[in-house]
Amino acid sequence: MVKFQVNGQTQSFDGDPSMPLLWYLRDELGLIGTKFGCGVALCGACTVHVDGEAARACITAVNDIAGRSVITIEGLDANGNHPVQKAWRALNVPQCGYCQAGQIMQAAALLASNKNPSEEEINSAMSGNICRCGCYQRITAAIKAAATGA
Amino acid sequence: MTLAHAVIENVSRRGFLKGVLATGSLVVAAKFVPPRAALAAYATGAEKMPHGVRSDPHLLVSIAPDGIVTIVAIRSEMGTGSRTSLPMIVADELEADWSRVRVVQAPGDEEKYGNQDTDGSRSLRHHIQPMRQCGAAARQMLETAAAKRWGVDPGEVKGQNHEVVHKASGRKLGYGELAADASALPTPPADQIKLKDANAFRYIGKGTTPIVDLFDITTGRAIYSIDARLPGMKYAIVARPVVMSNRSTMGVVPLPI
Repeated sequence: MVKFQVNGQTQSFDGDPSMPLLWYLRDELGLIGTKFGCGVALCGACTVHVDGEAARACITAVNDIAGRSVITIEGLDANGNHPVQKAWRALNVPQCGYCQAGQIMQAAALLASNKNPSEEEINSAMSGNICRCGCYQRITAAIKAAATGA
Repeated sequence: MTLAHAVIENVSRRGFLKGVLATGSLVVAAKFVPPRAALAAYATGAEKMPHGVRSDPHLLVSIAPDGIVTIVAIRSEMGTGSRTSLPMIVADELEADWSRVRVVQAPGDEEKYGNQDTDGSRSLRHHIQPMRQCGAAARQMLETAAAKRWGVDPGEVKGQNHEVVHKASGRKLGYGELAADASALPTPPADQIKLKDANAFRYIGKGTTPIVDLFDITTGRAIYSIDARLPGMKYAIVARPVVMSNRSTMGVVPLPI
C-alpha cells in the first residue's frame, strides 16, 4: 500500500507499485489534463509537480511518490488563475495545446524556485518540454510576464 | 478503476438538434449548396475535395431563444486555429457578438459536413468563402424574418451586433427573438447572398479573437483523442521491432482491460 497526496487529497494505491504515475493519474484518478507524449521522459508533456519540483510522470513510478505530494495541472490553481496560466492566456501561448499542461507545470516549478529567471535560465529549465506547434517564443515571453506580473 | 468518460458522440442529426440546440432555434433540414455555386467568387481547390464543402446555415448555425448562437466547427483543431477561425468567419458575416457564440465540434461525417481533412494548411483557404456565405445567409434570413414581422421591406432592415434594426422606425429585435421565424425560411440562393464589405469586418483580420479552447487548454480541461472513452472501447499498441526494417515482429497487440 502506497500513500501520497494528489492535488491536496490523500490517496492510497495497492496495485503494482511500479505503475507509472502518469497511468495512475489518468486511468485511476481520471486526471486527464496531464498528457502522454513519448512515455520515456523526452518530451515533457506529462510534467507534474512532486513536492513542488517538476517531474515527468511517465517515468515516475507510483512507488516513488510514497509520502509525497503531487500537483497536476488540475490542481495548480483552483480557478485556473495561477500567474503562469494567466500569462499564457494573455499572450495566447497555446496552439493545439497538447503539450501545454506540461509546459505550464514546468514553468510554474521554475518560477517557484527562481522568481525572476533570465532568458538563459528559462531556456535551460524549459529545454525538456517540446512543442510541435513551435510556441517557444510565446512560452518564454509568458514566463517573463508571469515573473514580472506584466 | 475509475475513468473520466469524455464521450465523443456520433449522434444523428435529430439527436444533435435535441442535444445541443433548443427548440425554436435556427435550424431546419440541411440543404446542400453546391460547392461551385458557393465558390463562385474564386476557385480555391475546395470544390475538388472529396465530399466538397458545406455553407448552409441550416446545417452549421443555430440560435437559441436566449440569443446564444451555436456554430459547428467542421474542421479539427490541429494547432492552426481552424476550430476557432472557421466559426469566427461565420460569426462575422452573421454580425454575431462573439461573446454570445458557442462552438461545437462536428462529428466525423463527410457526407453531412463535407470534406473534413484538416491538413495541408488549407482549411481557411478552402472555407473563407463558404463560411462567409453561411453567416451572411443566416443574417439575411434573420433580416427577412424581422422585416416580415414589422411589415416592411427587407431592404430597410439590417442585422448588426446580434440584433436586426429598422433604422426608419428605430425598432430592434434580438437574434434570439427572430430565430424561430428565421429557421422556417429557406437558405437564400448563392447569387442572392450579399457579403459584407471587408471594411465592415468585426473579427476577420483583426487578430483580436483568442482560440475558443484557450482557457480549457491552460487548465487541462481540453479534450484530445487520447482522452476519449467510448463504450466497449478496446485498447491496442503498435508493437515495433527492436531493430530497423525487421517486419517479422511488427504488429498490433490488443491489450486486456
